[in-house]
Amino acid sequence: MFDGILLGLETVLTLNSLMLVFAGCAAGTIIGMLPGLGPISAIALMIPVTYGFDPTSGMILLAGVYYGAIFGGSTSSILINAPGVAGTVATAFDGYPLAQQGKAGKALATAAYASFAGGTIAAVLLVLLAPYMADLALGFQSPDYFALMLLGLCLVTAFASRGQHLKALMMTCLGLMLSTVGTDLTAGVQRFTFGQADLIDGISFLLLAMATFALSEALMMVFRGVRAETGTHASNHLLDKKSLSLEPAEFRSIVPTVSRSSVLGFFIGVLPGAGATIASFLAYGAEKNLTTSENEVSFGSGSLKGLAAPESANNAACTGSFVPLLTLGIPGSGTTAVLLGALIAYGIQPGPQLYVDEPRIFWSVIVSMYFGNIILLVLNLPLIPYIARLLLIPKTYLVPIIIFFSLTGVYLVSFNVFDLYLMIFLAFVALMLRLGDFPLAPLLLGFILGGMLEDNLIRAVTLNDGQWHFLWQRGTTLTLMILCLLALLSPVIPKLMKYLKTGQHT
Amino acid sequence: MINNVYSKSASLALLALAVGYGVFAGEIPLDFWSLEEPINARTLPYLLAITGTILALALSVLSFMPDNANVPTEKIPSTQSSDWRSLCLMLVLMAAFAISIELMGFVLSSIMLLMIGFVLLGSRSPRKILLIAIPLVLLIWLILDALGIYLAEGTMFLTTALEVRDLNRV
Repeated sequence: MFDGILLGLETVLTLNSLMLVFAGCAAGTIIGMLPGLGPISAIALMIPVTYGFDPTSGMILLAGVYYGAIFGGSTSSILINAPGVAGTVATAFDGYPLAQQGKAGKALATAAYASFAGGTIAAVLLVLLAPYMADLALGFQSPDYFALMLLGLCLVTAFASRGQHLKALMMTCLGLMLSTVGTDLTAGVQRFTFGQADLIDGISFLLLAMATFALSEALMMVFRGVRAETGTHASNHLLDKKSLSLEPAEFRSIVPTVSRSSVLGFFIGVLPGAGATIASFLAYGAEKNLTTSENEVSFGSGSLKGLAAPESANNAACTGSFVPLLTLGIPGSGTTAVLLGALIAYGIQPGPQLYVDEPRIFWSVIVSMYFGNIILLVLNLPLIPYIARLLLIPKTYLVPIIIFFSLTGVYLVSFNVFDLYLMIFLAFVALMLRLGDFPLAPLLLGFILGGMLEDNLIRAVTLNDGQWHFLWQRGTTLTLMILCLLALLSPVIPKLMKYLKTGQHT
Repeated sequence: MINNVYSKSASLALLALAVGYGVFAGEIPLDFWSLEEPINARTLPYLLAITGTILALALSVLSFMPDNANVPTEKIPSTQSSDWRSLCLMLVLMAAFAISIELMGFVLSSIMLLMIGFVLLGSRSPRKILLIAIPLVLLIWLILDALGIYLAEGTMFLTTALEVRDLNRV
């Protein structure tokens, strides 16, 4: 492990890598701060930039963009009550009331310190846990992988919002369907290409990610009526910010909250499908229940604890989500699915072998997280008042710029106009699905895992002489399959229990 | 329910898609040996078509039930407050950008996309429109050029240049 950390330090402590971490954090903060654009859009927009880089540099930059975007999202939550992503919704509960009370500076500083602590504690846990997970995963065989990927997909739907389980499942299925477009690598036959030469290589993941997130978000803003938005409503809170410092008593009061929430956030982040949103809400809820003192400001009306808890938890969860990504090659969320897609695009085979074959990537991404958190704190704390002025850009100008970068980003990778038409079509479809309240992260997850899922399924069936008993033959596979079943049934189980309970009474 | 119309339409469209996917899955070309295999290029698509059809059918039925459980988690604007006109115009503009990028080249088509986009979304200040669109595109163009990334120069100009050369020869 120490050799690995030293290898990571050797890679990251170069001017080039540190500049990449810096650039990633800065770009992530700026993009993440723009309302509607979350880490998925931020990473998708930055991927074309990294295609000229080596995989290690590319991943370092994208990891920086990831936690930069989460931090940026918190800023817009606090200042204008417009969370860029679901993961920072809980931040607005107490952050925005603080800003309204003229304590925007204090709120931003609390968010910065909590994010820093959450990210750093989680990075330590990641260093300790990831190698063991990778060692364990080295014993996995194709049936286990198949079951594991299935579990990843099922958990995403299990953790979906209330009333969205079926829709999340449908979106996962749609993502898997889209992944079958193109040439089947085992038999070499074309599937669903309809004679279109541009589809022979399948749909590019960048195109899908950009269409379903960045572009569809921009179209959603147009649909919701950009003309009404002036951007000036944010100015009051931006201009009356007080100092960005916390008093020692305030600082001491949030230390236990931050510690607890960071550990909780990390372990929730490790679970495939859970992620920053659930982590931040759980941490907020837990802290609310733990706070009993009558002297404390009540949650929801500008409590520093209420702000620190979700902030540290969502950052820790982001770091935690790297555990399944780096050790198992399974993305735990839409954002890590995009990162997985980037790894594949760089020609790197994700999975436990990454730890063995590409230790430089494995360790440098982990080590870069420490530096990323430090850079975020040093860069953002003094610069936030200036960067936050981006929130004043009217959407009239912002939306066409997002559309321009999305279209250009995809065109510059393939130089194929067909990709632009496909992207526009998919963005429109994504917009319609969003209007129907269909979640899009499962679609991306299904699309990225589809190819690997099919490869492992074919390998498992072939190795078992065409029999399907591999699903319950090995203990690991059986356990994972049972977990899949439980994850699928989890939305129904409480209703079933309630029904049985009331049935017994009557 | 605010988004029920979209939910119903999307569920029905997904049902049609899943059924169509299953039909086309049957048309995936397979050789004799693959047909005999327990798993081939059609297996996963068939499994997905069946799963997708069941799920989409369930969603469609649920969305038509008066008291369904599909509670929206995000507030979606109603059809009345939605700006279909701007959305359609923006889609047309994006398609025009795709058509023009090879014809007019990256720089001109991008400037066109941005300038018309600003106007479509309500900007009425020619100074702002020009001062944002042109420097932004030129900056991106310069950066990409410095990185040695090829950008479409525009066949329109290439053709014109060739015609001028031919005319000079004549």
